[in-house]
Amino acid sequence: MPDYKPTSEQNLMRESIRAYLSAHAFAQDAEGMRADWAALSNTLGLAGAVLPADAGGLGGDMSDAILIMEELGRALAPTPFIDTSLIAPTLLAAARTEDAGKLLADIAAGATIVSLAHEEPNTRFGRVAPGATAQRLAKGYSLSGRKVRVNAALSAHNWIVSASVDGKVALFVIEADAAFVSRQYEMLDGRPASDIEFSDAFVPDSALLRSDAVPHLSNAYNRGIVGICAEGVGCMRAMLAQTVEHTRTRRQFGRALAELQVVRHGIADMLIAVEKAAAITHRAALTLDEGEDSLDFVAAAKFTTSRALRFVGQSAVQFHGAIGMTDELPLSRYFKRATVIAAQFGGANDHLANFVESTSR
Amino acid sequence: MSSDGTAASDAYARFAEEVRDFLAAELPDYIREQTRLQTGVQPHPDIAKRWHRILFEKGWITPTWPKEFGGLDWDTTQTAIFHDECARAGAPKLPGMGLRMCASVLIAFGTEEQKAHFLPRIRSGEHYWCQGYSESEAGSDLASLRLRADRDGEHYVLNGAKIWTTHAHAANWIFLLARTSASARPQDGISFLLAPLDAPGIRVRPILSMSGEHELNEVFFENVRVPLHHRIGEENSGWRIAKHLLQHERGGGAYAPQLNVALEHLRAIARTRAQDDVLLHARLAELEIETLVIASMEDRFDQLYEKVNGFTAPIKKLTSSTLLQAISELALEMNGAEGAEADSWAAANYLGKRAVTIYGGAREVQKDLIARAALGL
Repeated sequence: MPDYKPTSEQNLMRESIRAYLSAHAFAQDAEGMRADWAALSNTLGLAGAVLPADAGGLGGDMSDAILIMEELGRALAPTPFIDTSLIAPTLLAAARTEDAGKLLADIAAGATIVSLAHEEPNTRFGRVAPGATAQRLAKGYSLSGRKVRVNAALSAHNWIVSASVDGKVALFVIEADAAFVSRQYEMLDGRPASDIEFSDAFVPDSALLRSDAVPHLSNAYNRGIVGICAEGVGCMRAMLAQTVEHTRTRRQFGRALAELQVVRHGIADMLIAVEKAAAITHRAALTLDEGEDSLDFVAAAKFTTSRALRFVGQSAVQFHGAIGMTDELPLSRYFKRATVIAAQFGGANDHLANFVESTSR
Repeated sequence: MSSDGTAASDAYARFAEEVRDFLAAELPDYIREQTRLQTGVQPHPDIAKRWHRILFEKGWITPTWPKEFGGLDWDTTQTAIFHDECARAGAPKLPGMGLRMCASVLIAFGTEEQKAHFLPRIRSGEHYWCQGYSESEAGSDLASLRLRADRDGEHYVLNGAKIWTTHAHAANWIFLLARTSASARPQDGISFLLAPLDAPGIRVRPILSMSGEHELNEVFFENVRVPLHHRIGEENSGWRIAKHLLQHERGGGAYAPQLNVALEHLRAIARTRAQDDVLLHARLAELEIETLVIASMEDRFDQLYEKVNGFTAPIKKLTSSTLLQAISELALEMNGAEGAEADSWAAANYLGKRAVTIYGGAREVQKDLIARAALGL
């Protein structure tokens, strides 16, 4: 049976992360994000928390990762943890080159931010091979194509870019370069994203991580998905706590909203949705740690969490009433973040389709 | 994994195999078939009694009881494996009125004499119990119950009625809550009593469910004499016992094995009835996911919280009962208009499953409990 009990080290880690996050604000601009990430790593070791010890990390696993992400979600802290500490290391570890090893060590130290540049308008969250291509040259490659919604592309020091080479999906790690950014914008939650475009860009041979990257991408995605689900759980716990606080203190017709059964039952439904998402996310994390074939658990987690994020977010706004519609409370920022998390790495329908596919294999 | 861990998982695998071998040899086909077709809340009493006897003879009837009363040394994983394998093999989930509820009260509150007399008889199946809680004006608001137990020398004299009494027609004993004092606070005047159903003055009236099944009854008491030593705990302390029991009724068990069986049945229907219907398959996948979710939540709760508490127990009961209903509903829909025929199994199951969000604390009561935990008020 999977072991859900946190270790005493994990309980300590949770407390110290929570204490740190409650005392610090986070920047969203490129330089500020780098500085915040370095500080987080210096103080709490977050950057390398789930990297292998031989890569300079603390050797944590996905059960540590979800604990970290839940706290980051609860505090609404924008960090590059998913791209840099969950996804990139999985892909770099698959390369086993000297450069990859060096980059892993820099990530573990909190000195380097790496973003994944994989999604395209039609890749459907990794289900369809990228349209970007890399032509093999006598030396190096010629890269062409467009990537969308690259997280914090300008804070990143490196990008990991996917492209089709001879009918296979290859991964390249390149230095981030604003010259390739075709569009810089904010996501709904205010976090920065970029579209990047390559047209016959030269990439040296040494940049190639893998030429057959599909299983590694899938591994990395699974870790990223479970990580963002955990962030969603933290985000929902915060929205639930805010709703509890509001309904306990806001009085109407001479009594607190929380005394009304229709409100109480709504809050019970919110709590149930959060606990379900927390449980299946935890289960998916443990499954990844055990190295089981875990696509169905990961899909189940994202399906459940995406739905829960909508339900809990909508309920929170509804029970706050008009003030919930404004930008005056933290709730609006949580609601927007919840909406982004629900969609990133595939929404409920995408993962329902993934689940059907994985169980009918 | 450490070598200890490997040894432990090998031991669990061997235990699972032992359970499977036993089930293959000892679980009769007719019980398997009846269980597969069970639409009510409980297995038919004849089925329950037969399977109880088989488990008793094997020595596996009360694994979770304290060892001194016939419990086993199984850890939680072994117990989970046992229930899971039983459900997988198509064994019925035995009614809990005696094995789980009455036994739990006896163990927690009974005198040495009461334990020595009743516990072995629950184990052997000699006593088949029913639960006398609800009355026509007292469901989850038990404090308003009115069945009277008046002292007369060494006896209580019972007058009144209990309703929704599952399997009273098949049971030979009833545990019940009765009013022994008209105190200021209604919950302070209640006592927990045990009575044989063949006592003079007891009459059982069947209540048929809309699925046509006979599980429920009304039980009438007219000057029924119950000796004082059949009271559990102090006089007027029944409220505390009732609360203990309600929490066990609502949270003690694991629901995942039952959900997996219901889901397996639904998959079988989907294979024959809905092969090409992508919409029905999407809905089936949603229920598959929900089953994984609830099974995970159940394990996680059991590891992170005390087994009985006011928070996880109602969430488990509410979510699993809601899912059982959703499974029964999709099974009905997959049967199309055939599911509207009077002898349709899917229809009977759909009707029967309405009960799961009503008994043991209705959905609304569970939500009240969850809200209290969430709100801290």
